[in-house]
Amino acid sequence: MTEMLAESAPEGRRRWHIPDYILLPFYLMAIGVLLRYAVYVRSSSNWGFGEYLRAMCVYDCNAYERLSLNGYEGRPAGFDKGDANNWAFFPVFSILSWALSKLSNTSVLIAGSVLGNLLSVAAAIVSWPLFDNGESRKRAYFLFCFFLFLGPLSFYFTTPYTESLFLLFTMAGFVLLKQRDYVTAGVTGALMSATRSTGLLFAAALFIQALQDHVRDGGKVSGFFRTLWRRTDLMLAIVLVPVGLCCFALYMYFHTGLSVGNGGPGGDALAFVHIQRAWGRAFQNPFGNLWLALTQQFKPGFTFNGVGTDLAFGIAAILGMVLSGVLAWRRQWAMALFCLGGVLLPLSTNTYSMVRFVAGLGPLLVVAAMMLAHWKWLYYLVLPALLILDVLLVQTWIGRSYYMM
Amino acid sequence: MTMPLYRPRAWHLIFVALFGLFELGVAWLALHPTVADDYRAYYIDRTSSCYPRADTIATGYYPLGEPVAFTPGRNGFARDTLRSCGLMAANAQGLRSFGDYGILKFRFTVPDDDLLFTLTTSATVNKDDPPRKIFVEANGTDIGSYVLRDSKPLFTSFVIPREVVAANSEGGVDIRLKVPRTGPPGTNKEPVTLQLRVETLRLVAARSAPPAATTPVAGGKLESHDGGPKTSPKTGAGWTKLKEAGTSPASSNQSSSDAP
Repeated sequence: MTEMLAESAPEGRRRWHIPDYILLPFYLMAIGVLLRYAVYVRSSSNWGFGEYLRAMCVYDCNAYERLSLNGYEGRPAGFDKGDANNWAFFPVFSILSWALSKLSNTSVLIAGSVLGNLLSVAAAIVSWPLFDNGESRKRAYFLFCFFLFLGPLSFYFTTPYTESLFLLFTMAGFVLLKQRDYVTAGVTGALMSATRSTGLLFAAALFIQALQDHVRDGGKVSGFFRTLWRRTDLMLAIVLVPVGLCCFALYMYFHTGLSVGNGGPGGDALAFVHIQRAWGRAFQNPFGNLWLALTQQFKPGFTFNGVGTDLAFGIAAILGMVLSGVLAWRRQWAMALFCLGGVLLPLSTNTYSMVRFVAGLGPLLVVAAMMLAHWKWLYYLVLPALLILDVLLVQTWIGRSYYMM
Repeated sequence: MTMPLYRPRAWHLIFVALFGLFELGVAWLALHPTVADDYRAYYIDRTSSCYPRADTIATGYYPLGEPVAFTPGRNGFARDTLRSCGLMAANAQGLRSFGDYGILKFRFTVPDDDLLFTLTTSATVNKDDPPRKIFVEANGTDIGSYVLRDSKPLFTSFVIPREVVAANSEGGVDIRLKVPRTGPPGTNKEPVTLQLRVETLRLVAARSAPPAATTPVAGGKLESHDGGPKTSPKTGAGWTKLKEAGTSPASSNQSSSDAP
């Protein structure tokens, strides 16, 4: 796996050789697409690949597609309550889908689906340096890629959702941090914050990583703060992270002025936050939300019929926090803080979609893969389980399951 | 190990200043939104429980006196001009409320008369539940209330005095149906409220309204209203239309009495 890109051939000619860790995600991606397509054909008797892509494009996928096609909408009027529109959806993925569809002269759905897959492949390749050197490294990497393309949540990473793009930026950001390239990591952070609001948390990760590096280099914590004024690279990196989100906020300020403004030139820069009332989101104590989600279905008046969606989201949030704790235990403080924030920030508004939000936190997937691949027996047990769940859940996903949102 | 050394760079600081100023500017804009009152109340302050539909869609178009039914195939189902806020699009159960209130908007040529507002509503109220009281306001003035004791549709009527009608500068009436909260907030912190289902309604000038005596009582159970000005509606042609449209008060299981 650590082969060089080029190696010497016996006759002296240089024979180019692509490392396994680059090829693997491509193969798994292709197998995953074919597998889910086969399940779709088997269950629907429909051979149309376009119809398959359409069927796989559920919930937010439609919003991102609409965003690519029509841009941001005007006065909120969606949903039953007439208070929703697409302002909550960050723009980068849709812009890229639109650009690819124009370049390739295909529909946004096809372009977005291809893009989602390729971005996930790129994210997997980029993440290779984050896996610990050791006997189980290849297994962990394989498991990680297998989860992305053939796991039960592969839909997030292979359909036009922002998970793939956010994963790529997250992995790239942490690899750059590992290489101590703070400024470039800051640029990646700016792209993260333009993809999802949780990208802002990367600023804290940058700071923590710089502190940890300082201590690792023989400095003291107090010394780090004393010399902070000299760390112009760190300052620039941190100030770069919110730039993506601020660009989006500035755009929203002028865009919303046309539809919900009071006649002036501007509107609401935080419209992407405020519009989330349509999804029943409001900032409050995340642990209170978690408790509500975990206990809701056991209250009088509710019938316990298996795991309800609230409970499932609550369990996902707990799993996310536990894995963040594992990262902290491994002294990967920057990742731990980033992931814990990535769980707590959405959890502070509601538990809805927690499965997706937790699955979209790359470092959690990496550490989980490393843990599960540590024991061979567990690794070989998990792989078929993931595959079976992926097959079983295709129909569930197409049927717009709330559990998986 | 030695203390790590760092070398400050001027170009870093230039960009820090530029980006920092940009971010501060955006933060200032974020803290000072310039938005319409209804948007601020619903999305930012969260003091209202619904966001009004655009005036160009919820026009309030209403031929005064016309009975409206919101169930599929009836006149109010497709011509969705009356529900302004807090009421979902019509389905087989009519218009369903969410939040603390639903607002119906009526725009018409205002007659020099009191108006009679009749409506049939229902809600899921089980026998073990406490009675659910609905308050009715017209143009911001309380015109009465009624109580839902079970899930059967209830016909109710209210008189809206002409001075209350005249208070609306746009010419018409905004009816607000205020529903009670029935449970604590769930996981999304929105309070759980009674879902009121509006099946039929009518707004008619009092002199064109059917006589109170012709309003039959089905089920033998009377519901009383609290408050509301009292007038005696007079007989008129609108009554026939009301029956033809299938929205006759007789079709309801209970009837208003103690007519306002």
